[in-house]
Amino acid sequence: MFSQLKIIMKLWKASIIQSMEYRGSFIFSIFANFFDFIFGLLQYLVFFTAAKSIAGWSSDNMLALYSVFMFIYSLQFIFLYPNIAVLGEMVNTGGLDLLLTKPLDARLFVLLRKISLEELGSLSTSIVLFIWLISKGVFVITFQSVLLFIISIFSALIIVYSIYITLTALAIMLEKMEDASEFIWSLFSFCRYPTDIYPAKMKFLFFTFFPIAYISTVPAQTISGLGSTEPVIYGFIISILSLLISSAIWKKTIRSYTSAGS
Amino acid sequence: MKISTPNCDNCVFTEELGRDFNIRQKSQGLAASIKNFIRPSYKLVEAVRSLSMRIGFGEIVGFLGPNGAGKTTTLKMLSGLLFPSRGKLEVLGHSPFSREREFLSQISLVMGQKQNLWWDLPPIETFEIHRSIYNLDEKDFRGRIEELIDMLEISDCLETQTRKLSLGQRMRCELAVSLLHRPKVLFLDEPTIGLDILMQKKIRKFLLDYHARFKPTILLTSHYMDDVAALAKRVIVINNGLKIYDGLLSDLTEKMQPEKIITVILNSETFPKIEIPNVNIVSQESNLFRLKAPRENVGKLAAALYNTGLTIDLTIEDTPLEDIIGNLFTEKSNFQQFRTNV
Ligand SMILES: Nc1ncnc2c1ncn2[C@@H]1O[C@H](COP(=O)(O)OP(=O)(O)O)[C@@H](O)[C@H]1O
Ligand SMILES: [Mg+2]
Repeated sequence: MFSQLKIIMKLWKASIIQSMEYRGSFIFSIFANFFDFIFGLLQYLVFFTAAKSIAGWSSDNMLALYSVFMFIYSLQFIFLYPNIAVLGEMVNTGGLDLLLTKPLDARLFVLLRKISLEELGSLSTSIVLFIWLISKGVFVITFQSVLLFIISIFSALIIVYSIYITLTALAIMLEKMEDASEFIWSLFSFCRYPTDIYPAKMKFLFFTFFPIAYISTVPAQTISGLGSTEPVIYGFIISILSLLISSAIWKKTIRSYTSAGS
Repeated sequence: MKISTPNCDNCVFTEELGRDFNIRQKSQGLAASIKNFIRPSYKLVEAVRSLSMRIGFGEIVGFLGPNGAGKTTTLKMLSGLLFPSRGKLEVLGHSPFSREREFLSQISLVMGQKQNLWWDLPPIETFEIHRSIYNLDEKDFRGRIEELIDMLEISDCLETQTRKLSLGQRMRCELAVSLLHRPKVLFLDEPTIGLDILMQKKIRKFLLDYHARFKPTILLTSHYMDDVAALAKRVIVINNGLKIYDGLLSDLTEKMQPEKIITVILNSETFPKIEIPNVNIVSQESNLFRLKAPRENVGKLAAALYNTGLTIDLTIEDTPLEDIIGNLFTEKSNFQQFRTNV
């Protein structure tokens, strides 16, 4: 595991060097992403000029949600998205073939071999926003709430990773490589808002089979003192379950993998 | 999938190995497309039907057959990429598809059309990444790189971005990367495809040198029969996923081509009388004669021709290997007869 991490670091270094090659566009995208962040923020603020709260969420709560959401969103953009975006290319050019003949955990490398620093702007801004909210006294900071918050963020990351594995596996199995990245977009558009704004049936779905509630809503609730302990525990259990299920799907995919024609 | 019989003598062992593909049928026209979308129809392609072979440690075996014969599919199964549909399969005592670390660390699959090298990086960076993948220590790594650079003459392309290299340079770097961990088994699928003759020769020579030094087991497919003739004593010929010949290449050529072609230039336009049976004159252009004679009589014929004192020049040729192999698949009858003789 540790040695694989070392290799991944090398690949990241390589991938950063690669993106630096086109320095102009690199710097431009960092800025563009920073402004994206600000735009997203403005959207919320416009909301709250009209209403005091949305589905029980005050503007401060919403900012907490936004900072959690953007944190996870930019992390997946930095580490995972660049890989799913070139999945089709990887399969069609035989990159996956060659990867599978190496003594490596292929899954780790399919999902993590590329990195894109373009979202670094959003990532740091989300952290700045979070710190600002702490200093404003918006959060409930106790040992328990901080611990639960950390667990919930951890579960969120595991869930996102599992969703990526599942999507990647399904995309390879069904030979629908472009659809996977499309799906990621719509998935995250649900996470921008608290699940409380959705009808009860959808909400149920978001806490169970399609567990996106644990990606942004639950961590934000936890640190804002809005929720209870249970969702955090459920989230943790569901994250482990989804990791197991996604691993099984991955195994099945590799077994049925047909490899691109010669 | 591990088989029970001990199998220590063979590096590669397969028995009735097969792999099918389900190919989704494409349909034409809207109505057919809709119907196909609702109930897709599949066609079963038996890429490899039944293949039994044994390859010993350190052998070089040429894998021949027309396009679509199932060569690449076989190599993919042997390297653990594809799960076999049926049959037994063992490489280095492992069942490839289990994809055990130990197994994967001892093999290499090189495909002429696919890239191990990172497109945007110089090859040296890819080497570095492979060093970590195979856990090589710094000293070994340096030593091996030096050696490979030397043998492949690639010192000048290591620092250049891979995409700026020529095909020949890239292929040689590709080989270097694939051999860094000194695999015990090397699967080469069309390693010289698209290269010019000179580069093909270089790569052939390298492979021979490399094999002489490190004795890996090599299974090689190639479009270019010269590759196979230069490298492999033994060939396995497959067609439609079935093995049709397994043996020495020299036996194959001898039996498929019982006659040789002799071209002779005389200082006369009439052919002298020679008492050797079964010699036929195929063509004549003034004083240039083309003859066919059975393999075993060629020596006597040449001697006799020189003894006449009329001979200016004489060459003896085999039918090109390409044609012999081509004949395997076209002249069914001829080949059937040949098979029964083997
Ligand atoms: N991934 C695949 N999916 C479907 N059919 C395939 C695939 N790979 C190979 N085939 C089919 O299997 C047969 C054998 O192909 P291949 O092993 O590539 O032959 P060769 O390498 O001898 O040219 C061909 O008919 C080919 O179309
Ligand atoms: Mg092929």
